[in-house]
Amino acid sequence: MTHAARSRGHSWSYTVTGRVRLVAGATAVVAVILLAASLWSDWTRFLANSLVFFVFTLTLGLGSLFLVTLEYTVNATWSVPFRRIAENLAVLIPISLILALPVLVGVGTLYEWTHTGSADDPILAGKSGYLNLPFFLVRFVLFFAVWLVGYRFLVEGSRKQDQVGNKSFSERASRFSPVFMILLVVTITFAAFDWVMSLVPHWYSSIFGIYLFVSCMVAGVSLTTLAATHLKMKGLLPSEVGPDHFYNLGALMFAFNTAWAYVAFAQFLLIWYANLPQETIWYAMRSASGWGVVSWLLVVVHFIVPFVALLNRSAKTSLKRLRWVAAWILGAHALDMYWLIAPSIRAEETVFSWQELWLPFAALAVGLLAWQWTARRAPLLPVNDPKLDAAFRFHL
Amino acid sequence: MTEREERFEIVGAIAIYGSPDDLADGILRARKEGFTRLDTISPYPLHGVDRLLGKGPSRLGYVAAVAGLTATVIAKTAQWWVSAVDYPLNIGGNPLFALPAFVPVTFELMVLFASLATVIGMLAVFNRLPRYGSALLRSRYIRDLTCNRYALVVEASDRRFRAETVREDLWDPNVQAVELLRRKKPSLYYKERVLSVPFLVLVIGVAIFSSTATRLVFRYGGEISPFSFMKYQPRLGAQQTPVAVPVEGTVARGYLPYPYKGQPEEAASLVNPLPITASNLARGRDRFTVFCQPCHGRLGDGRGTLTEAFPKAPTLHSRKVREWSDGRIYATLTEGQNLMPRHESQVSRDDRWLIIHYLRVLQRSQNAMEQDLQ
Repeated sequence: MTHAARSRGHSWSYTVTGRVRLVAGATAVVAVILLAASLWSDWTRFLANSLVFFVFTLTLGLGSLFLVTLEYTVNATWSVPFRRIAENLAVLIPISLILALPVLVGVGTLYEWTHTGSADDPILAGKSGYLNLPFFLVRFVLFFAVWLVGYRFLVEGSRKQDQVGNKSFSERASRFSPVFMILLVVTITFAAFDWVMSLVPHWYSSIFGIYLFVSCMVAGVSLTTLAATHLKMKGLLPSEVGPDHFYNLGALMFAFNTAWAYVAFAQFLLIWYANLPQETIWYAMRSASGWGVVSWLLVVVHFIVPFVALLNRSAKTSLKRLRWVAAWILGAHALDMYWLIAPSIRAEETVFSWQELWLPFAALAVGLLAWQWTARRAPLLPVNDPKLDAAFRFHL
Repeated sequence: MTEREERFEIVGAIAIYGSPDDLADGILRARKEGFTRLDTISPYPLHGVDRLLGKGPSRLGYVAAVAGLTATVIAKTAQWWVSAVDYPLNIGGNPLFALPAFVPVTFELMVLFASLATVIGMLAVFNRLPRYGSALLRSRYIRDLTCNRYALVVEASDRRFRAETVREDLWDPNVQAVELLRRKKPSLYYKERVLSVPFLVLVIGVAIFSSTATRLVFRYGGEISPFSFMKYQPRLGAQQTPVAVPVEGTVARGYLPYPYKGQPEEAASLVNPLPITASNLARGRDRFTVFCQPCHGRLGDGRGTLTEAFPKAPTLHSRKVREWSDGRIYATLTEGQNLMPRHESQVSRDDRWLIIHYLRVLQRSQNAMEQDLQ
């Protein structure tokens, strides 16, 4: 293919423009000022918000890494031109390891089970075999070890393939990915139990791990779509990557977002129907005046709007629309993570105040800085991937 | 006009190509020639060919959308009518119109309607099936087209189509052959195939055979039961005498036989053995609400919750009932009267007496006399 040959000749490297650097720096400065003020004014509230920020960032990274393993597992061709973007975004996993520091420092404040004596609470005493600080930390290390091993193998290996051109890496990755995918799902499930569900240690929901896993998927696909559409509109992706490729990203986004709604509703329906106090308490925390509004807002913002916006075929091929919807879903996902965590810690206090303002600035700053740091290190396309030509020829 | 031309009609033409790329060039050429009603036939789906043919996105999605929305409305309306209006049923204290609980049924019905409508719509509307046959099956190239050849189809309904010149119109160096597609006129097809004696005999024969065979299998072949372990487990049938029957003449603890069976007037002499206390009245009120209120009403005035579904029960404030002795009412409670069933086994002896205490309170409250006000 002559087109592919021409795209091959191009280096597809990414250079950071001064404007992006300026925006990233400015938001970072604002975020740090707001963060310091919030830290000084209310320590517990700051801890809750840093847990939200940590989980939010981590879900973005894990979702992106899952997208990479998905491509190798099902041997997809269309997604090869987007794989490097997802690989770059998976850098949010090691970054979230740093963001976990405040959570680890404040673990005693955030999690009730760390300081409740077994005599006071027989239920927590029964759970203490799992919910105890040493084992919690061991699991923390274990989860990140699994993720970082997968990150190192898939992402670093793919970058090396660009320089060396060894086709064997793709084969090894195809064998590695199905196993890693299972590990990823299991670790995300238990991480969800550990870091989010145990905030209300008496409450349990067996679907909770899937909820967070699907949230990861929604977040990862949306972030990859946002980056891909933006780069394409800036002319940084080859001309062969066209509407058919983006259609698939839109379809995945649509599918995972609907799956999120399905899981979220399944959890709600069972708890609502059984109407048992120890289960409904979690939703009761989220239906008190202010949080009730957020709950309904989530239904509209996270399900109805993206569903309608992505239903049409033309919506999934329009770069402009896709970029908007991807950004919208990311916002909805952020709200979802906030709704998932904050009421468990402070159901009675105000829903939003100025102490939360640092979150969006920090998210933007971390996202842009992470992208600048990682995107420079390799071309925006996996230029030596054996399936790249087939990917360029992809049509629906 | 030859006989063959009278019986057959031309429905289009196919141009045969050896590779998808040749076919793609051929499509563009044909469109440049002015052909609009084009289609392709290939051994496997060719991606991107819709765009080359100039076809817009399929409209099948709208069929699915309309069917899905219809199903949503039907499911929600039906569940609302059944569970909240026509036969209100309290399930675990949840609201009668339980929106979250109705979602799964709505969702399933939506998927069912949408998928059926999609399949039927695709076959019946867009593929125009069923048909008596396809002209393509008469083509000499049909075998190649399922193997290693690719065809461009031009339909005869195309305004640009001329049967005499179509060979030249579709010709280009890559074309391996151009063939006119003919099919028997549908009216002839119907007359000769469907109304023919052998076909009708076949249809009737199959009907007779399959119904006879079904009948015979069910009559003599025995029952086909994939899961019989529940049917053949050891158990008692309905109304069957239980294994452990009490020894004759014995009386169960806490239970005294009722001596005035069928003689309510004889029972009138019975005296209520239980004292009137606040807790006894509360218990009587509780039992009254459970067993009497559905027919006789909360106040005993005959306006119960079942009055529309069930023959109206009489008021308990009639002079007759007010003048009855406790024992006479006890007889009615125990043995029933007219449509009222016996309550001997459902309400314990003590509870029956307590209900009567509470009934007296009701009667007095509804028929207060002047001295009650002082």
